Amino acid sequence: MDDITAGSALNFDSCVTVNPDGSLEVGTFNSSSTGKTGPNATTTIDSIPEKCVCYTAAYVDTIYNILCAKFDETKNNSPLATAKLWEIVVGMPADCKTALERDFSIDVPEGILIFDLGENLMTYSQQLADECGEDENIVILMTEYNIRSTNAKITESTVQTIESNTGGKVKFVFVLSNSLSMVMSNTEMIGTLLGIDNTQDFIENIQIKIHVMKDAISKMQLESKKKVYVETAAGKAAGSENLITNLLTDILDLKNIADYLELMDSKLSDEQIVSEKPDIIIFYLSDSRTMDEKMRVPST
Amino acid sequence: MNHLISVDRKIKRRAVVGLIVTFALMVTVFFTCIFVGSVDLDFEIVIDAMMGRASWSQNYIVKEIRIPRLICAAIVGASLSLSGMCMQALFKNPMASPSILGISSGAAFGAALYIAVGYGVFQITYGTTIFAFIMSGITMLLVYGLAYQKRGTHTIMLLLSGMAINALFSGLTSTIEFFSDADTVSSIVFWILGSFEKCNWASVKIIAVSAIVGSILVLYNSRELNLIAGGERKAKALGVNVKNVRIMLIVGTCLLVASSVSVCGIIGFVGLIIPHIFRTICGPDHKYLGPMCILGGALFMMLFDTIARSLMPPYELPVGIITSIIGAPFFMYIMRKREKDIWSV
Amino acid sequence: MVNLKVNGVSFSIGSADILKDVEFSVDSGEIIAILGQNGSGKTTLLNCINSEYRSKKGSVTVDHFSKDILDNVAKKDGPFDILDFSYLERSRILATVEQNSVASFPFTVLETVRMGRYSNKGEVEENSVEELREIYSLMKETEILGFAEGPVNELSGGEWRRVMITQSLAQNPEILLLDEPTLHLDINHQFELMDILKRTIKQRNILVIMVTHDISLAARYCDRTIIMENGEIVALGNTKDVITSDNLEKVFQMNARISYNEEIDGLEVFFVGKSNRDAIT
Repeated sequence: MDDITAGSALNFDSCVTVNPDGSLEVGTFNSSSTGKTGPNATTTIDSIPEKCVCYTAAYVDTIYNILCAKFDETKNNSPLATAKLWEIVVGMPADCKTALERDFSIDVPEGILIFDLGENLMTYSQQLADECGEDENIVILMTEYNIRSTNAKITESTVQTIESNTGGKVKFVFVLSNSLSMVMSNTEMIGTLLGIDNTQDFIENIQIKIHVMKDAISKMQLESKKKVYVETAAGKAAGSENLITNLLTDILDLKNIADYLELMDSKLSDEQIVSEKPDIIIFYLSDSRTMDEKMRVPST
Repeated sequence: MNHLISVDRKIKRRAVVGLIVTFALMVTVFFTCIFVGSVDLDFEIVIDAMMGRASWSQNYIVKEIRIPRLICAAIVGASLSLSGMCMQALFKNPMASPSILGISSGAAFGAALYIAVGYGVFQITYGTTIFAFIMSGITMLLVYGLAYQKRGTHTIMLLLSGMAINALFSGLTSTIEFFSDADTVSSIVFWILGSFEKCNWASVKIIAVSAIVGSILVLYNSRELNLIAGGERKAKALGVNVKNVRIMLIVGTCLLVASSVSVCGIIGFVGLIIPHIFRTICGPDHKYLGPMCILGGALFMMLFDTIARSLMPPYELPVGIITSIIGAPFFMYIMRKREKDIWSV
Repeated sequence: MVNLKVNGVSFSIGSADILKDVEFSVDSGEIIAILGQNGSGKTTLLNCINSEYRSKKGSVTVDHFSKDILDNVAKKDGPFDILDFSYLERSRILATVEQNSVASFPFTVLETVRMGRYSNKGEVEENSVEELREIYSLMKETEILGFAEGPVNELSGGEWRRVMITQSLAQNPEILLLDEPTLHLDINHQFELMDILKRTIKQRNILVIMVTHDISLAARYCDRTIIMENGEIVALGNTKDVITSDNLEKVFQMNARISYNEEIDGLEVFFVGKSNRDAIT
């Protein structure tokens, strides 16, 4: 396994450590995060939480996938995995529920608590803590975007207040995925945090699959790397901070023609795109332009 | 008599010389700017590309991106300047601009509406442009309707009505932005900022007709504009059918502004400053000022767009920013110069 | 030989009656003065004559002007209501010199006078030498050739007024209406203006109606006079019959002596002072 991962993008830094006494050190983010690099803070959790509140549909989906692999079930027919999923995930915001049902085809059952970020979070965390047993605690998973100081929807002091009010039973972990290695690291973190025992196998499986793909590509012996251009719904170029683009370039070994753009929010001129002649062009689903417009077809 | 003839000739000569020089400058700027762009192309390559003899992407860049973009800029610059000139004469105020009737706000609202709501409801090629255009027409009708009085629509009412409608649509656009997600807001803001980068031959086709019709409506009334500039009452007494002329002028302005805003967003100050500059150069006679504004507007817009494109490579700044940055100090300079006029009233 | 008839014109704004049943008839070749205190309705009457205001009762008609002014040749004979004309036709018959006009743009004097030629129905083209000759003779008449080149926003009040008169004359009108033409002018310019007007009328045989505050000027230069009070005509006729000490006392509460002065070949009005009689008798 090590020869596969050594020196490739499949390598990742683990951001969770299980201590001998059962407590966990988890990498997280604080308000001075820049949204570009890995975790810049750590949080200690007394014991494996086993229950969580997920703010983003992707985290729920991750847990679900790990569970399906554990019980060896497929996505459409997974009674055991589904049951265990909803033991683990106890609450989510309303837009997460909508996204799960619409984009991931995962139905959210009745008993799960649906709420929103804001004042409710204080009351809700208290409620969660009260419902916990002696040794139980709950982790709240949120994207790093929410605590990054320029966009903060929740402040560090709120986090500390909630964590101390509940006596450490409710803990926050902030998550950021910008590249393939971060995705892997976060997957491992979520699986370990929730005590799902086949997490390591799951990750190794993914690494193998990706390695097979990359191997096949390198055997194709292309004369040069294929180029990709990703355009967001606003017509901006996806630069080097964009997860989807980074996954494409890492796994399929493509070159993102906009990777030198530092600002995530900027356009590449049509001239530059034409001049680079990307082999693949990708648009977002949420883009409301017609195909003709997107492809800059000159005649109506 | 001879003295009078020479005065007459002097006026005409100044105007004609101005026209010729501006035309020459405009053509020069046009051809020079073809060589400038975010991708560096050598001189010979550009020449080859214009004749279709360079590589595919180089030909494409020159013939399908740079040239139509410059033409668009020229048309928009000319339209905005001409409509600005028209508004200044109609409202007897050298400080008026084409957005005085609120048409640009209405167009921006139309575009914002399509960007925010259009997806999933219907998808039309160049939907933003079409929506912006339609909304401009609706705005013009609203402004006229609001100002209408049975006795005859007074121009001051049009001005106030325009201000009100302007505020209304700005507010509505902001409301749309408030309820939209980050991507949509970003699209809307970028569209409104004003930029030529999406312009291709399709855009040229869309705006050419309405720009031409609008220009004809304004230029046809050049002589009447001279008289109206001295006061509508006086113009009526001199024989001008002010009601009909005003309708032609406002419809013309609407077409001109709509064709500009719908293809490249809101670009400020051009409609205000160009007529001002050229009025100082060749006099206020609209028979000459009209064509001057067309040529001069085209010239300056191409220049501004090229500056916007090359100021911070590889980023292309929206041209609306450049015109505001250059325009605002110029505007203040004009105001200072006219200080004595303001105080003497 | 145009004839202007004001037939029972009444005009009100809201409940205020500004003009009450005004009626008179004048012909070309005359200068008519309209005198009256402030608020007597003089300017309103002028505006009703030139169709700026539309009177609800009564009408203003013209007759006997040269028929080729009309675009629509099929128009019938007889007195024409001033409101029935198109803007162009009306501007060939009537020209107005207003009290206040502002120049927002720096047109030259020449261009400004040329604007008056807009309604010209002649066969000459706008930019031809014949047109220029016509304008030249106009400007010579009103003595503004000296600043033909200058921008109008640099003119003095008197110069500007003369330019406006020239512009109005450029319309080649049959009737010239003036609202306080000598207001705010230097004394020498006042007399200059009146001399020019008198000459022009003789040359062109037009009808001039002049609203003015200046009773002495009216007495001296105008053939006929109308005195208005509270929206009604209280005196109408030849100047020497209308500008009398009695009328001046009744309408203006002034004690005045009027006499014919040979030197100026016109009436001379000497104001002794305010009348002693009370308004309430």
